[in-house]
Amino acid sequence: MQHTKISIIFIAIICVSAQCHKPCNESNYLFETTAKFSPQFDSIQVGDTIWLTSLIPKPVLDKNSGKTIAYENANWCSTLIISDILKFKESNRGAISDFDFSAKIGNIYSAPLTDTTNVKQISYQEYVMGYELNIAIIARKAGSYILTIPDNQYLFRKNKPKCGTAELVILNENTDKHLSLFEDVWGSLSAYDKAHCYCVKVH
Amino acid sequence: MHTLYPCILYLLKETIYHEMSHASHYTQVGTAWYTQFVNAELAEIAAHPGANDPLNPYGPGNDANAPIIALGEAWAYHMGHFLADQRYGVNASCHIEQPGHTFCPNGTNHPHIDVLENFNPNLETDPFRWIPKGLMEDMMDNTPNETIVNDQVTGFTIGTLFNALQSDVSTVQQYRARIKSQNPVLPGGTTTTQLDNLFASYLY
Repeated sequence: MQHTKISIIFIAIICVSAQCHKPCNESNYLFETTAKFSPQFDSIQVGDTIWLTSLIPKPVLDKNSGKTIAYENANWCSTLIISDILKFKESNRGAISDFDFSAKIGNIYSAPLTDTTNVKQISYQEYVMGYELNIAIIARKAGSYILTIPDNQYLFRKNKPKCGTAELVILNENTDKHLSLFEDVWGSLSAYDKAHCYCVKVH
Repeated sequence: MHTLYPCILYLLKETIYHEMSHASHYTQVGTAWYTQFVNAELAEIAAHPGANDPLNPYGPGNDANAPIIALGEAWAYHMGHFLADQRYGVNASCHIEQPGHTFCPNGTNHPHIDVLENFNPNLETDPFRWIPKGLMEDMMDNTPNETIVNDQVTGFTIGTLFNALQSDVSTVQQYRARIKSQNPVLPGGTTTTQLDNLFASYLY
C-alpha cells in the first residue's frame, strides 16, 4: 500500500512538473530543408574541398499545418557525422580527424560532452532572408567515408524552449549520393540513412 | 474526440506508458532506489523551476543527480514508445516527443520507434541528450548499418533489459556491467565489444 502511494505521488509530481507549469497554446512544427555536398564527385584527392551548403528561406513552411511562420532566434543547427566505411563496425569508425573544416557561412565546431571523433556540430547563420550554411570540408587522408546530417529533433526558439518546438528535417539533395561505396561493403542502408547520407572516396 | 484530438490522445497514452514504466522499475528495485531517483529529479526540478528553463525537469546531465536519472528515464522513454508502438504501430498519429520530436506516419514507418531509433546523443543543443533514450531499442533491433550510433547489438528482449534493472544498479555504466554478468553469452551473437561500442555511442 505504501509502495502504491509513493508511486502515485511520484507520477503526479513528474506529470505536473513536465506538463503543467504553464499552458502551451502553440502546436509543434515540422520544417524541412535540404543539404548538398559539392562537387558531386564519387572520389576526390587528399587536399580537395567538399562544400556543404544548405539554405532555409524565411518565413519557413510548417509541414504539419501547411502554414508559414517566422521562427526566429532559434537553434537552427544539426550535426555532421563522418564515419570511415571500412571501420564502420569497429569502435574507431569516427573519421572527423581525417578532414579539416572551415565555415564560410554559419559555424562548425566540436562540443564538449559529445563524441568529437565522430561528430561535428553545425549551425546555420541567420540573416534577413533566411538561414544559411556553407562549410568547407577538406580531405586530409585517403579512405572511404560516409557523411550523415541527421534531423534536428529539438529545434526551439531560445526564449520559448518548451513551447512551439519543432523538428527540422534535413534531406540530402545530391542526385547521386554514391551510397554504393557503403552498401557494396555492408549492405543496404535504412530509408532514413538513404535520405540523410552521402559517401565519398578520398585518394 | 479521437478524430478531433488524436495527437492529445496518443501523447497521453505514451505518457501513461512512460509513467507506468517508472512504476514497473520501482517494483523491481524497491523503495530505497526509487527514493533516490525521486529525490534526484525533485532536486533538478527545484534547481530549474522555470517553465521556460530548458533544463527542467532533468537538469544538465553533469551533476550528481544525472546518473540515476539517465538510467531511470532511459527505461521509461524506451518503454513508453515501445508500448505505444505495440498499441498503434504504423497507425500512430504524428508523434510529438516532449519537448520537440515530431514523427509522422507514412503507412509503413513506426513513428514511436523512429523517435528512439533516430535519437541523436551528440546534438549539443538538446539539453537532455545525455539520457540514452534510444539505447534499449538499439539493443533489441537489428540495424547494424545505423550511422548515428554504432549499433551492432541485437537480440535483447524486454525481459533481458528489465532483469538488469536491479536495486544496486544506479548508473548506465552499472547497467551495462549487470547486463554482461547476467548474460555470459549475450543475445543475438552480440560480443562484449559490440555492446561497449553501442554504450560508447551514447557516451557511456
